[in-house]
Amino acid sequence: MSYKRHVLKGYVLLVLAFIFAPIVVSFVFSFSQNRFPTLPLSAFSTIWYQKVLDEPAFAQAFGRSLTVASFTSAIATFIGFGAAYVDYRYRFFGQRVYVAMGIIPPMVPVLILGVAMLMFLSQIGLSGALYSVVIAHVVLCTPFSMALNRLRLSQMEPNLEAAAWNLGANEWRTMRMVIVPYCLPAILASVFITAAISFDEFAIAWFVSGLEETLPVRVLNMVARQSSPSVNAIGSFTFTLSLTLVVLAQLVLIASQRRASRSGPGT
Amino acid sequence: MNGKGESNGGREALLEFVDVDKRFGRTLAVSNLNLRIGRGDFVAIMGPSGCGKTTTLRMLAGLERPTNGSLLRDGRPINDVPPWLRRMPLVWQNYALFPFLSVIDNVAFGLRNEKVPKADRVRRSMAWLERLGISSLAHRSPATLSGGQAQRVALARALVLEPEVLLLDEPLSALDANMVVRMQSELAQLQRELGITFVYVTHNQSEALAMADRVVIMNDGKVQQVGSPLDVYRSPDTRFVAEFVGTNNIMDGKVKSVAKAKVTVETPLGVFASTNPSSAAIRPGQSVHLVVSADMLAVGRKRAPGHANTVAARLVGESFAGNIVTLLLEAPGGFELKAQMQHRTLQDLDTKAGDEVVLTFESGDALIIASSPAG
Repeated sequence: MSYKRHVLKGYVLLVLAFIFAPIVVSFVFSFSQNRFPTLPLSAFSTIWYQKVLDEPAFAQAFGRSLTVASFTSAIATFIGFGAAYVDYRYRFFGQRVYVAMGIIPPMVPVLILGVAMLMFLSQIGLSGALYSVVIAHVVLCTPFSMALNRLRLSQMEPNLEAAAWNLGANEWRTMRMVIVPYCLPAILASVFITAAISFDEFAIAWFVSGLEETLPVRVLNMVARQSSPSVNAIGSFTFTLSLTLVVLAQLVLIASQRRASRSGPGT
Repeated sequence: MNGKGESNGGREALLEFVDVDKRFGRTLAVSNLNLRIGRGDFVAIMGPSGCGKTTTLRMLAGLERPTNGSLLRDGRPINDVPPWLRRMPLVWQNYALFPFLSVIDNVAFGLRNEKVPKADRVRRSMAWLERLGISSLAHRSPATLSGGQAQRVALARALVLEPEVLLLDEPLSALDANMVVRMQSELAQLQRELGITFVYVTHNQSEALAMADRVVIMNDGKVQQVGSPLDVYRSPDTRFVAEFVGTNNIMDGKVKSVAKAKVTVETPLGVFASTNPSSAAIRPGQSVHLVVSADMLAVGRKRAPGHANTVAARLVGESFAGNIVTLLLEAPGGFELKAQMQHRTLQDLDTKAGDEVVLTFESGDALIIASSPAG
């Protein structure tokens, strides 16, 4: 038994190593002074980070990505929560279709989504601007928010909302005092996750951003022409940022799960 | 002795259902409900699951809207009043406490909605927690409470509003047996002290009979009988009530003769006499049910001479509940009968399973119910 377990452990470690090796390599060489990734490592240096900071194009692209991620996460979370609540609260004709439509976008290959978005947005005259990226990213991110909030609402004691009405809170007040506080962990997780997705997203942004390059687009345009260790620096930085957002989302969710699993009444 | 529904103890009607139907899609959950609930009544609505009792309660709370008919409060229709304006707090089966609020904030929730100043609502909430003996839990999270504690919090959360009507939906069903008995007497005492109208929904007859002063028995969306606990227990109006309340022996038969106060009924077990018809309009030839409560069936070893209502039977088994024992008996033709007695009486009788015994009952204890066309 313990032999089998060791093999399994080794296998898992191998898979993880395989996945994370490129990222680790990128991390390591981002702090190497040498222009080319060679072993043994040359002296430790933050020169490539300095270079990135000195280049205004990167700073601008970073700023745009941050702006897009902030707006996207706010809007996608708002719509995702609303969509999940509608599905929870009401029974109506075509409800399954409604949920399916809400879930589909991430299942569409991003290239197709990107091209479709470009065509659609240019037809209605909204392409080539930063808000075009926000619109496209909201479409991509809302399903994640909807899924998180639907899960949370499905765990809610079925009579909780009616209990609030029964105690004199009208529908809006119940939304504010019961539903939103109850869903807060899912809402926070959704803010972090959608921000991380939007911040990293390349393909759709590449199609619809036009001259307003976001960071991933800027990086690709750069590596297409030349290879610079600056890419390692940017990669390490964005990876850390995304990872932080995802970890934050996980922490919020785990904390709320733990609170719920403590023996509650009526469960 | 006749427990017809419309009698109401003379109390002024606070709530009234008038010809109320409630449909869910094609299912008729409640049908033609007419019910008056007096001010200060403790009314228990009782029936098997799916009988429409919870739907009735939810209509009172405003969570369901009657499909037809009207719901009156003090004589005015309230069909269209939303739940948050009704002031009829409900104690839920699963308590439905707000998990992200502390106990005291749960209790103060309703007062907060009524814009009661903070100091005042904390004081009033605390007073109720003290009254129910749970003030030490004020700052705990609901997830850390036991069932009995959560039940009290739910009760405090409702009563702190000082409502005219308290609605209770199977509030004791999630508690263990000892706690149920304790909460029953506490609830009954609270209701007497506060004088609030309680509408209590349960499938449990001992709860309903122990606490309520009026019992409403429902089946299949229809009210079967309304009356005092003793009424429905001793004088069931329908076969359903006789089966649902108490432990009754029900024999189907035909009326053979009707004398002044004495009716004889022919059943597969023999011809029996009754001086206790549920209605005056019993005619010879009519199909009826003869109902004898299990505790009115006397068990003996030998045939008592001259006794009119006698059945020979074989003892099949016995089951104990405290000091009351229920004997399971089989009459000729495989007909099953039940007799209840004190354990002590059974010992004096000295019988064992398989013994032949003789059952007798007084004609005054045999109730006659007309068969309804439906069943």
